[in-house]
Amino acid sequence: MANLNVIEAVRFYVRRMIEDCHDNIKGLIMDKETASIVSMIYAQSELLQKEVFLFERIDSTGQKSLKSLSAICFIRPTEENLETLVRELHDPKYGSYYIYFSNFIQTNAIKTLADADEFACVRVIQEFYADYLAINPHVYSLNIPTTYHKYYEWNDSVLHRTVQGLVSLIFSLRSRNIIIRFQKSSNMAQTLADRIYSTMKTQTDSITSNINDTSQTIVLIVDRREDAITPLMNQWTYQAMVHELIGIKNNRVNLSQVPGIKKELEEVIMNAEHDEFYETNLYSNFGDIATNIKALMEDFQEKHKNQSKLESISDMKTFVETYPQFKKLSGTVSKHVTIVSELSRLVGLYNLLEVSEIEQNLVCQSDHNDIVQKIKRLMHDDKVRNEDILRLLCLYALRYEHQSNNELNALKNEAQNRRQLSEKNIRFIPALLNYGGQKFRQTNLFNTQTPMAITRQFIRGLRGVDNVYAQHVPLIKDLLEQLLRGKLKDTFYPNVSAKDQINPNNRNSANQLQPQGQIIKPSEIIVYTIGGITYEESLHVHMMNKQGARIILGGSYVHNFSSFIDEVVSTETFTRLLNRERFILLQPQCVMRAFQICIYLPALYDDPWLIFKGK
Amino acid sequence: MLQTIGDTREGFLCPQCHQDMGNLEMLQIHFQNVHMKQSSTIIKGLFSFAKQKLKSVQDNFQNSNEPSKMYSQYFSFDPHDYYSKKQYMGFTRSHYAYFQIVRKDKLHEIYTKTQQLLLRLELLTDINEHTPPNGNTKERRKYEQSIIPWMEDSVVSICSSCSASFGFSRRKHHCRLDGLVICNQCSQFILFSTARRIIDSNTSSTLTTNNSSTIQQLMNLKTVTSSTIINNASNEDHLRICMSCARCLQNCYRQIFFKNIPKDEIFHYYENIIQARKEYTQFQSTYVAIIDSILSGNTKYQIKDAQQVYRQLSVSYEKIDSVSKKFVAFADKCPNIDENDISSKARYATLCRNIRMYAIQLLQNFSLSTGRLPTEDEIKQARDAKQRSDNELMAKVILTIPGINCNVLELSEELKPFIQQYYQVTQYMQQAKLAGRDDEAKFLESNLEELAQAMRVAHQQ
Repeated sequence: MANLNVIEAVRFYVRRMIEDCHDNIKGLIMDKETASIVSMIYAQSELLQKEVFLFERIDSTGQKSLKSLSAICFIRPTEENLETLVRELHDPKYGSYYIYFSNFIQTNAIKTLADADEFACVRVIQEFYADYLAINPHVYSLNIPTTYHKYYEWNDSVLHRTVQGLVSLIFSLRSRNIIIRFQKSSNMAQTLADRIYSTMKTQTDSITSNINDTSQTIVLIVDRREDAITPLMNQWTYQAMVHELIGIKNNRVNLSQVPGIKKELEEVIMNAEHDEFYETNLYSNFGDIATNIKALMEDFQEKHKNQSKLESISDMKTFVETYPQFKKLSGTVSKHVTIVSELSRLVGLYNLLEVSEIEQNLVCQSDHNDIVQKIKRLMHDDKVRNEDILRLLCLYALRYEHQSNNELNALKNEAQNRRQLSEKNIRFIPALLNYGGQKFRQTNLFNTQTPMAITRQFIRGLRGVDNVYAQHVPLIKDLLEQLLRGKLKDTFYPNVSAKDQINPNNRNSANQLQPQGQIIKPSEIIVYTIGGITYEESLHVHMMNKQGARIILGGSYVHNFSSFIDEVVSTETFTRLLNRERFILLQPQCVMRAFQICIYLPALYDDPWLIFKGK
Repeated sequence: MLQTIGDTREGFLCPQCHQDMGNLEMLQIHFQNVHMKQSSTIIKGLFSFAKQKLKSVQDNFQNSNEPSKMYSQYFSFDPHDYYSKKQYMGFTRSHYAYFQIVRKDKLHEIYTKTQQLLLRLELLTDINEHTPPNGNTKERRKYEQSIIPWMEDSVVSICSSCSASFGFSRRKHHCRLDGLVICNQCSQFILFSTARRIIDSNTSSTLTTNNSSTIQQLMNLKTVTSSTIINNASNEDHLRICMSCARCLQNCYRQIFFKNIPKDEIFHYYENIIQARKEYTQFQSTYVAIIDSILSGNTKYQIKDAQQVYRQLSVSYEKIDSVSKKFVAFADKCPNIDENDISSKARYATLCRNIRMYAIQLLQNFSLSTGRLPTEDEIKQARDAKQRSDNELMAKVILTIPGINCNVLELSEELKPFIQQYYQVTQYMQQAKLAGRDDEAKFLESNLEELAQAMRVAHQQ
């Protein structure tokens, strides 16, 4: 059963764009965001095969006219882009223009463009709803690193971008009937749900035609603040681990920090669409990947009748280096060997196995004293990074937030004495409690009290733990389970259309709204997480999809621990800044600049107030 | 298993006896006391039993390795529905129809205005015996006013372009193309010669040899008007016009310019590549057919046929290679681009390199998909093999023909075509029988008998 595939959805659009232009030499004009959207799914060599010979950014087109070239413009409908396009049409450098907007465009914008097109160069104006980054077949991201604004509310431009991204995703998957459910405790989720509902209502009729289509799509909008622990954990599956320990940005991995790295491997592309080994091992455990790579290498070794036995990952590395022809044949393998050996180096260097085991126990078991002792012991271990101590402190702070025998302060002091934690790191703990503490959460994140969790623990007692490093199950999995079984409570996750049932236009969707507890069978589920998702969540949804579920997961960003710290701390800084009444007297631009300085130079300026004080 | 999910109760249930124990401790005590006290073998059995009982609950938490589709029941998606397996392209919306309407209006508006101005310009710059020369101010002014009436000086107190009020230091002037009153600062001047060139190149839609030089001269200009009177050597006549008319003429000039931008060299070269690519693919299909035929031992084609096509292939191959190599040179030189225009140069270079890359990929694909010429030995082997299999077939067929019984090798040459014919008819007959065309089959059968008869006669001779 073919599942819905967001990569395929974007690919359809790009392929159509190129195929609809019959001219020989084509240029592809993109903006910053659409350039990453396209680069996520197509390699440049693939586009060359389709006679696309020039790739340009709309904001930096050249001067010389290339009249015989056709331009395929794939851009977001932003004010800036429209202005640039109008300027370009007034003085065209290409012979013809095929314009595709990644989202809705206003009628008056079309009029402006038509007025500008004095040379009659425009051949096509269409909306192609590929306005999101397709990361894996079931994972998308809107690439917004910081979503939260002051007091955890929306910033208008980010809200607009999010609505556009999400609605484009819905249209790119050909869904028209949607049921939106959102997390009640989050104002942001509610606002977003309302906006999507109204946008869908105004846009659907003009775009879709098949009214008889009765399939329902559930859009579930949740807030990262409900589950702040998942981004804090160390990961042990391949993709998640690479992102956590090295970092993946638009499918690119920067390996320049790896000791003794070869020049050509400083930045590698990790795209499961073009890399078979990566595709099969995306969700493999760390141990399995090493075995798989070893198997691959041994297979090759046999071919070359080399008898030297490969015992360790470092052996493999030397092996690859001594066989240039092998490297030529399988550039991907040498890439993966480099990455896996780097990962295993880091795991050993920072004692991550022990750290991770304690993290998992902290979240899933409930032996308070034992955990405190273990954390204290790790603080004395010089191999363990400050960052990992911070992870443990954060998990501890969230887990035992309101426990009477909470030893957070003692632990913090000890950490402070033993190690020099940076200002930003120290600020992170209170910021995190503000971000995702019990005050905000509507469900018990640690699930130690619910019957389901107890049964889970009980089973563990019977069977023993399969994998101590994978005990934690992200909240989203539980939510999806409940949603599928019709057990997701309307009081916590209400339905948007429920409140305007009086509206006769809405009778239809109101009828489809079924009483609580009864299961609505959707054709697919789209999850949007305000504040970003993690690859651990992607893994769990992948597993569900393998068992017949049709779920697409996405969020504002794909976080790892360090990007998560950045988002939480910058939000907190801004909130704190606005909390100071004295600032209202200052010019808004000044405040904005101070805020920016704090984000970009957190080491220098912990507190924006200090900038004004003249420090 | 799937059916039991609906019955699953939540709570502190004992997996063995389904008793709700209230809390975890009670459950553990209950399980240890009641169920663990039995002998170890029973416990083992019990555990596996408990595990089985718990399986539906476990699936909530753990991913089993077998590819069960436990979640598909929750989706309205039908796995057996063939059509829904395929994902279609997402929704799109076109705005081109509306765009075209707006653009058509706009272009029409521009066109009428431009044509009007050009007509006046033509009359004003036309030099013959009827038009007074520029030197004769009075007559000239009269003539100009006969083409477009000038606005009365007395009714205007401000400049129609910059809205500054006229006075001693700001004198009134008239635009010769629309008669509006403007000040000197807002005046533009167009040379008669430039005006004639615009008119000429606008009226002649096709590019003829004599006006291509006109256009060439026109292309060298940056703007068609200037804000000051040019006193060049020839002391040429000029017209005073207002800003908006100047803009209109400038636009008209740019349209002409845009239409006449020469095609860049590289596009001609690229067309050569496309041409060669087309030829190659054509020859390639012929070549593959020939090689296949030769290697299966047929004598329809000779090795020299293959060689001939192969030569043609290499010609196209070489052509693609040599032409695309030129692009590398273009990338380095960047002809026709201003030295200082770095961004355009970089763009041009990238374009050229990408085309070369495309050509290299093309050539790689071609060389992979085109097999080499077979050697004499291979051809001989293939023919021998064909001969052998033909003979074997012949021997088989002979056995089926009634009345003839002899060795294949002894067979006379005249009989061979008969036998082949016989074999073919047998094949046709089988086909006809399979397809249920009984009449045809019967006809073929009688045909066969006649053939056999004829062969018997021939054989005996």
